[in-house]
Amino acid sequence: MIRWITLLSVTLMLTACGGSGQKNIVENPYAERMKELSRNGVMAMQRERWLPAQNLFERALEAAQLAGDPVLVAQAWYNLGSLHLSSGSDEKGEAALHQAAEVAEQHQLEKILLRTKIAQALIDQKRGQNSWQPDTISSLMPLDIHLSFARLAQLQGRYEASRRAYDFVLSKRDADRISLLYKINAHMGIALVAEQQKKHADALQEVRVVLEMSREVGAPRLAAHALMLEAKLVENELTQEDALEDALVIYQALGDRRGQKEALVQLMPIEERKGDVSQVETMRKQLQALEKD
Amino acid sequence: MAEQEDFVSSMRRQVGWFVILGIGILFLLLLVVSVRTNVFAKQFYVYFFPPSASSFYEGQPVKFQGFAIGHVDDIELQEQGKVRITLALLDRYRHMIHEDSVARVIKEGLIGEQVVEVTAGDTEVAAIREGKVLGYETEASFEQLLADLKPAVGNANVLLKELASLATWMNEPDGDVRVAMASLKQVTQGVKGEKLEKMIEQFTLTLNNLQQFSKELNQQQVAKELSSSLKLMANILNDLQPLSQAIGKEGAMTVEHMNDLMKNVDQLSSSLNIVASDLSELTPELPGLARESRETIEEIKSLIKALQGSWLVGGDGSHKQSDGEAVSAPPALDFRP
Repeated sequence: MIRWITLLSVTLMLTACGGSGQKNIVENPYAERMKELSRNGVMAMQRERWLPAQNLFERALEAAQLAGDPVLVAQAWYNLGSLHLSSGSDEKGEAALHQAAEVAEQHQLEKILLRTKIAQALIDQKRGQNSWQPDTISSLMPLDIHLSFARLAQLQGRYEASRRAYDFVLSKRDADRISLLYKINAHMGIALVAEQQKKHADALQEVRVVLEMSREVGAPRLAAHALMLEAKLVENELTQEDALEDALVIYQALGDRRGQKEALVQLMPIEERKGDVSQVETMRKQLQALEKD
Repeated sequence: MAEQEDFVSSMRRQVGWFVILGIGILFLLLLVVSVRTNVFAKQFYVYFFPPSASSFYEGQPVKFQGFAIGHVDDIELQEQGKVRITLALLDRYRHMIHEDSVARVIKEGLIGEQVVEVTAGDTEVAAIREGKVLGYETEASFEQLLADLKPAVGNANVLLKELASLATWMNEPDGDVRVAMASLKQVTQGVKGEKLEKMIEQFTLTLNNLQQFSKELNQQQVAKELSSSLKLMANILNDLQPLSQAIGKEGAMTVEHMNDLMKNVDQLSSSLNIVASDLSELTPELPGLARESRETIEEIKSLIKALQGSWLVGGDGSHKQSDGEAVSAPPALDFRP
């Protein structure tokens, strides 16, 4: 009995001290918090919950600054920038990217610097300005950089480089949600490249993949874009109508006014040809309301 | 006349026999009692000097390997302010007790009385002498062990309370959670004054309520995770209950038992981490949840960390090194055709 009590006492005393005898790995609580907030922010962003995501990324930035880690600070600025760009606030996005680039340059943070440069090039391309044209991307770089590069090259008309980068994204065997989302993006990119190259059958095949994967993973905006592309690629008017109506419903749910307008503009002539006057009138009113706001 | 004398002498004989027999029985009884109580057994005296006399009283049993071998004969406050306890021990056990044996106070069972225990000492050393001064050992009392247990169970209480309040978002406001929460409040109040054993029992009941509640929640993955976590928690506390009794009684707790307990707590920690991660993933989806919910999840995580750091998990913390890089936001790519 004495032995057991002594053993227990010793065990308790040792464990109460919290000591396993091993040296604990010290974690900066602010750094941990930044990573946690960033993870939650990315999750919110994937669900297009822009305000909560912004709140999380802003708090992540604060935590990164308190942690005093330039890598985390640059990453936090980049995340915030990417969020603003995704939600349509290009100016705020550009400002945040500028901050990220500054820190990344100062501390030679290759990945973040590359991310910011490609993101800036995409903004420039969108504005019709001369944009940076990187030749290739190292295979050691993360998937998101390859995907961004592929889209940039595509918009710059460099289809071969774009296709190679998209194929690189698809070649990865990662099956987590983020990787799958990147793959859906890559399929959509390939579909657009094929459509631009007038390879409609290839484009349609990729669209079908996008729609199937979107349903599986949950990427409604991409699904709506794919449906719009499908309507453009198919010749059967009934299929076109179905695709456009489905796309319209998704855009309405997402509150995507531009998408709604585009879907309505393409739907109206179909309804007119069908002779559905009341339907055409309703759509016209919807379109006017969207343009008025 | 002769007949009368015969009658009287017969009566005298009978009375005489009666008295002799009575005295004999009385004597026999005294003999049995004295043998049983060692009143006339040969005794020897040893002493020890505890820091305080508060745990001792005259006549207090002295035990050796669980057998009563004597009693506290005298408690004396000496001139120098020292407390001297005199133990009267049966001489027939003297050869089993050695010169380096020590005296200490132990408790018999969870609520048993305190007795003085004399250890055997080293068998290589000579048997104890009359008038020997024994060493006195203070042992961690059960109360101290309870004091160590309380914060850990208290942590678990808080953790469960947080989990339960989180769960209210996912269920009807008038559901079973009210009952569970009320029980939890009772338990939390109980931490201050009640016996640990009773508290654990009550806590386990509450856990069962919560388990039932979480099973009825939804078909959601998070509900399943919550349920399995609570089940694990209940298992641990079920383990704790006999453990707490065993500490006070026979010391029957084995190292294997302790290891099993540790293993269970490790499982609980990882399981709760999954729950916390699931909940944080759900956060953007739940209506009206913004800052508060995320902060609650953060608190849960810190509670889990506290639980991991507590003595229950051996304080090894299982702190994993962070992956170094923070997660990167997806690039803003517009694939509009």
